Amino acid sequence: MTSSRNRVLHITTVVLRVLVGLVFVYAAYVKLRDPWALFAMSIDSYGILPLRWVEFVARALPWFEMLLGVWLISGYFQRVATGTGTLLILGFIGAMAWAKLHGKQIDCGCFGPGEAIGPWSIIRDASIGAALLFVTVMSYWKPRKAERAYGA
Amino acid sequence: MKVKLRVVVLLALAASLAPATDYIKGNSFGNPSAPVMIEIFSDFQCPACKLFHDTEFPRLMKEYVAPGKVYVINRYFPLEMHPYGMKAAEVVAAAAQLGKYEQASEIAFAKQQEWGTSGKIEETVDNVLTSAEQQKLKGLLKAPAVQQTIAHDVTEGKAVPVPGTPTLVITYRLKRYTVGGREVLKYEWIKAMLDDILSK
Repeated sequence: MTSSRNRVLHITTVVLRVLVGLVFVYAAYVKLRDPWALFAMSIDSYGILPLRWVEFVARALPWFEMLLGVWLISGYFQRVATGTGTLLILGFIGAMAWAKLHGKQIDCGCFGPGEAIGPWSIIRDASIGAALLFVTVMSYWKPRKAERAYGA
Repeated sequence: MKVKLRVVVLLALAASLAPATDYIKGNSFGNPSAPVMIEIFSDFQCPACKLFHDTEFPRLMKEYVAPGKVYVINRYFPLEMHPYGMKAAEVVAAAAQLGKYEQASEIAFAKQQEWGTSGKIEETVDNVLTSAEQQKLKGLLKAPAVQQTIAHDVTEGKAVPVPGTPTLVITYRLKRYTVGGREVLKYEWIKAMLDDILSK
């Protein structure tokens, strides 16, 4: 029973990690196929970053998302990868919440232009964040000695 | 056979993206053969549209339209939230039929605050028309040419869909990008985007 529970947890962790990785890769692809200025406009609309940072983030963030996605899928250095992803998603959710609190009716910019910030985008990103948090916790969790001894 | 089918599909797609010339009367600028086409969906009673018209549009005209890089079409997209938006579109579109689109749109934006409260957009545009043109304008307001032009542009905008005004729909090599409506519409980003796509 215990070994099957661990197996289920392990499989769930892997599936979630790969799925989230694919989401990051897709998000990066959608931004990279369009002119970077489109993403820059979305970032600028939040009104959080100074102008000189907007271009840098617009150009660099999609590549970072792409690398992070591949990194998550690969499974290497999971603690760092999943922790980084969690922090990134928390940053995105924070920015969207900030925009909503300030009454800004702007695009999310998450998967390219055309998607307004709303309950769906926040729930979606929160779900990704929850999945990443789970995977991060699982990357630190070690089965107890007894379970390991009995091949759990 | 497959190649022929692809060619037909591509031609149909290109035709669907090309502007319908029947609905363009003085509200387009530049070379229709320019590599980039920008359709600007705006409402004459919209303050953000006025800002775009006063600050960004002249730069766009000077740096991209005049050199033949961009072809611009101003689309009528009156918003329901603006009580005189539709009337303003009718008046300017009617003036366009008389060959006075530029003058009419210029004064409509310049005096936006005045007619926006009084509703006297026709009287405002009359300032750029001769007496004969003023009489003709009255008859043109509900003419099919004017009504169909506005209806066409509104339908096009809803199909995008245009999230707000001003919205730019930029078409380059069969690819369409929607800019504005919700995002900050700063010229620096429009310029960066145009330079990026024109460099490809």
